[in-house]
Amino acid sequence: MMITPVNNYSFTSAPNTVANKVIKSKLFTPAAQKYDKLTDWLADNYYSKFFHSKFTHWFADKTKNVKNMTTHMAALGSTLISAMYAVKTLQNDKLDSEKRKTLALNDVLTWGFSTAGSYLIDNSLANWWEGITTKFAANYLMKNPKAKRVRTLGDWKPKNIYEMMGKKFSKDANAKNIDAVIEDAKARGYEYELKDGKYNFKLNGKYAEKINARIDKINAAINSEGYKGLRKPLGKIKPDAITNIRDFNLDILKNRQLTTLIDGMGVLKSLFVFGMVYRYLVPVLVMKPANKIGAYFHKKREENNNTKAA
Amino acid sequence: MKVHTIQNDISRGYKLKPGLREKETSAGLCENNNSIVTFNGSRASKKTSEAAVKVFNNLGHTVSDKLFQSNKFQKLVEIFENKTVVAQSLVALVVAGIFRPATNMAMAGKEDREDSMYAASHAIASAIIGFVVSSIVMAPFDKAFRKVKDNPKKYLQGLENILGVPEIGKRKLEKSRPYKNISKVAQMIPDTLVLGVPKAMLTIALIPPILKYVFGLEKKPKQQKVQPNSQISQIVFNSKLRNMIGGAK
Repeated sequence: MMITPVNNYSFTSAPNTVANKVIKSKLFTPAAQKYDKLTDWLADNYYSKFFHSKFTHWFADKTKNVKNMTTHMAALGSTLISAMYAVKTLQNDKLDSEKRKTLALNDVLTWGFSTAGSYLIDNSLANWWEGITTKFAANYLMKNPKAKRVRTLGDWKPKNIYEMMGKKFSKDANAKNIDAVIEDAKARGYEYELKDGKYNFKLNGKYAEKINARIDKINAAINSEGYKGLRKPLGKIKPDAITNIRDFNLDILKNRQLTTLIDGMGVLKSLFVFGMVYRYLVPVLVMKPANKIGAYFHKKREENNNTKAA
Repeated sequence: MKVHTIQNDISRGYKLKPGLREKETSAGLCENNNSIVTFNGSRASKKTSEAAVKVFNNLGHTVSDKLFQSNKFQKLVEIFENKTVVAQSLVALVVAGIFRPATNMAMAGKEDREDSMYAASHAIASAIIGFVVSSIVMAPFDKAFRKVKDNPKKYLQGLENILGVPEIGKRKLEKSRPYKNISKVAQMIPDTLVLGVPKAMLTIALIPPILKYVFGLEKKPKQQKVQPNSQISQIVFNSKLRNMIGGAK
């Protein structure tokens, strides 16, 4: 048998090889330790104190129904920068008073239109983006089958993620194949009702029941006399709680990595919309044509003035 | 004898065998496309299937699926959640550093080509400075936040009522909207409230030397043919100034 040097090397585990030693740099190790201490200090003295501050308690109460804080923070940042520009314009001694006011007003109007436009686009994309995020989650589950919770839910295909979420759907009562649809829906565990000429189908909490059955088992183990761990009994989930992919993950899949990714998708959308409007659409696609229109009117006015003077 | 494939049978609306029917038609209830087989084997119109639960057909095979499954994209999405300020600068880098200069140059006429080149270089320099400064300044903040997120019992003990959770724990906090909102504010405040204005001023200060020594560009004082004396021309003048500085943010 021929043993290649690579194979031979891979079977030899010399304890003193460079790879097995933890290399400690005299320069970087103390620097890394200091950096770590700095981050500990920030966690203690910035984040922890911020969370414990009175302002945060007031803020948490006032914003308990606010859904996308990232957009508001992006808007706040732009407001501050625009305000800085407006104030600088008003303080500019090289311009006369009237001119300063006009320019500052221009700053404020630009900010106002950009902010309103950003919010409008961000909100109008919400449903579409929820669909994109659901598809992203389905792809994540396809790539990471462990996250599907097969042991509890049974094997299922990520392409059917909407059905797993128990998404409602409706069908016209006069649809050509309505009897067959009802028959199939019944077989698949959907509840249905006829309302305003439409059959409304809703998944019958089938998966919630499975999860709750598993929770019952876990709770029984926790409550048993032989249990010595620190876990507390788990609460059951509501069958109708799932309305979006984030809730589905939190209630059913319980995958922390996926929660981070779903939240990240929301942030990506908002920041991209705000970035595009503030830094591209307004300065390039709106300002440029506006400049040209302005220059055209200015030229016309100059020509009229010249004609009158002549 | 002509043998039809299953696909042919589906497209022609023939009835399928019970076993096949179960397999294909049960999905058919959920399909949201034009050529699905329904229970009696007839082809459903888009109108009748639109209301049904959507199924991601060909999942994993489209371009977007390949993008979503790539590790790099998932890493990028993670950055957007965990390092929001850096991500914000990254968006600015792409939009103001690539899209905007490209459009500026494409829209430039012969007369204002030099101005557009200067504006494009300005936008690129501004975006790069913003990204570099944010990445450096926010790195320790992001790492510190990661520590809070990974060990909330140490840092957030006693906030059960404020955060609306029965007890402080990683999984419990994921469901808390106040926690999500406050986290985002805490993550973004160092950049928004504290660093925002100094960063903008630093950018303005650093741009001329960067343009001079990196791009080899220097703004020459230009003699204005027309003095801006009307309101419209003032707005035009100001919008040009704003383009130079970098917009609302």
